Amino acid sequence: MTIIATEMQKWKRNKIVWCILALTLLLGALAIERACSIARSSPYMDNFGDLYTMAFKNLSSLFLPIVLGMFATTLFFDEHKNDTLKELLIIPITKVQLYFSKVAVMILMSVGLCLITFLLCVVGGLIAGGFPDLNAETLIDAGLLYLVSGLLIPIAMLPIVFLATLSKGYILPIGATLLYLVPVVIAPAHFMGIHPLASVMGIYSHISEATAAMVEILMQGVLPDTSPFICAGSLLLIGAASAAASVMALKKQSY
Amino acid sequence: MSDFVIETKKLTKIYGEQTAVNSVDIHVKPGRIYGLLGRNGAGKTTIMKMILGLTPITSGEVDVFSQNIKGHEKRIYPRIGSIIETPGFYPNLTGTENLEIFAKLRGTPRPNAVKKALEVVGLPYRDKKLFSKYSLGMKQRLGIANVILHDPELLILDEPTNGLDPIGIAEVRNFIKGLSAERGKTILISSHILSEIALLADDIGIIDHGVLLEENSMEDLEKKNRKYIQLQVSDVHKTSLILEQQFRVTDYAVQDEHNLRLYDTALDMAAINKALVVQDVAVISSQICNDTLEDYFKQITGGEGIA
Repeated sequence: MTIIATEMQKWKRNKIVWCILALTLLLGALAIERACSIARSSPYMDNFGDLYTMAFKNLSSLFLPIVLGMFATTLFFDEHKNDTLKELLIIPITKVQLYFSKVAVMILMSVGLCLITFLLCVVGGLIAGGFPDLNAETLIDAGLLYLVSGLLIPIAMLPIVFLATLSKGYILPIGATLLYLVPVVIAPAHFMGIHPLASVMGIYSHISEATAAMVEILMQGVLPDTSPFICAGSLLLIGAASAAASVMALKKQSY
Repeated sequence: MSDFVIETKKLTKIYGEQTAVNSVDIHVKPGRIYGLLGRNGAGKTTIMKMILGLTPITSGEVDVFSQNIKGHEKRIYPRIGSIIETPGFYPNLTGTENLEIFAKLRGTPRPNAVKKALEVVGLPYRDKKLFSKYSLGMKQRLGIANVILHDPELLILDEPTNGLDPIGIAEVRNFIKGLSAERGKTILISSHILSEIALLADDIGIIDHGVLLEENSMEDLEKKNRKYIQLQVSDVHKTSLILEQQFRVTDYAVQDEHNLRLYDTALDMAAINKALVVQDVAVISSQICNDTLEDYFKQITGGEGIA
């Protein structure tokens, strides 16, 4: 816990973190603006599910994976760049501790951004008004979606974290992050159970009716037929393999 | 139990086809300052990194506090403070914030440890200046503050006066001396500046091209620097013949056409001078000399690269 707490301290006055936060607020504000400007009679905004899934799509389909990929790269690379890795290693902090503390920070950031967006949705729903389903049940569904996403997207990004541990610069992992998103953007249904980010979508579709409809739209009308257990199993397997490979890569590196 | 705080046995590091450190045996005694002296690129930093386990050893052994560091990191590292190359800190944090992070990670129990460490190196506590705005000298001072933060028994300092102005160098030197003399710390310090090591170290290891050429106490090294008679004559060959045949002198060295050194300072120089003049050799000068540590260093390493 101390290591994680100090990891958070290291981000004080960091411009990247402030930019990420500002962009998250902007994306949430855009969703609120849509909720305010689209009439409740329109099928695009006739229930709270439309608002929270819209904000969720804005956040999680591209923004969150890109942000986490960049964030992870910075987390690992900056210890080399600032020459602080050697100071940490002789405390001693093991490379396993170092890896998992940084992944924990990544998860905290992801959950934090999802929580902010969720809260913005609730506030936006109250401000825009007129949502007949803005009740505890819908809020629980929405909260669950954001929580699952906040926890699973960082796990889906662990292969990129592996590249960040290997890399001696920013370009490779950040470039790989963008390439990593291509299959999920062009044909997510085909990669469900294979690509971790597509597998995450397979899990979302089972949270509520609203999320099922959202996933259907994201899948370009193709209904996901892969079992959520296969999606979860594949996601965890790839995540665990990436974590093991990252730790091995870190252990092989000499200062 | 070994008598040494650090002991290396046949320590070797090979990068590809280049041998950076070759079979080095270092012995650092408790409570003493060991100066590792060598040119830039001689292998000093690599030795320190291997001692600290920051870089894998190709062959040989390192014992710190009589234990192999590998597998005993949790027990050994808290007893060590080190600066390797340049001190590493987070540029977006102040000096105090940086030290607070390291104090927290080390579990430093002493209250005000950060404040005290900053006071010792002359940096302000809770200053708003970020590390990225620090001068090289301030960075080095903060590095030293980080080294002493947890009151370690052993300090490993790789060129700690780099970037400091002359007054700063003197302050750090006195501070390091004080740590050893007053608080009994064992210190391994590297430098390419001979005068620094000469002023600081109790023991010295001279390293060149990855090979430890000499390991000795400063006291013995000073004794070892031989006295000699410097003789300047008109004909060095004739002088050699006279010395060998008439005075049975063999312990001498010809330097050039006019200069030679006689290493037996008990020789009867009056008689030698007289013999040389009689045999038509002009004696231009004759004086007793003593080698400095710098002369000695040049002699054993072949010369250049030491300030």
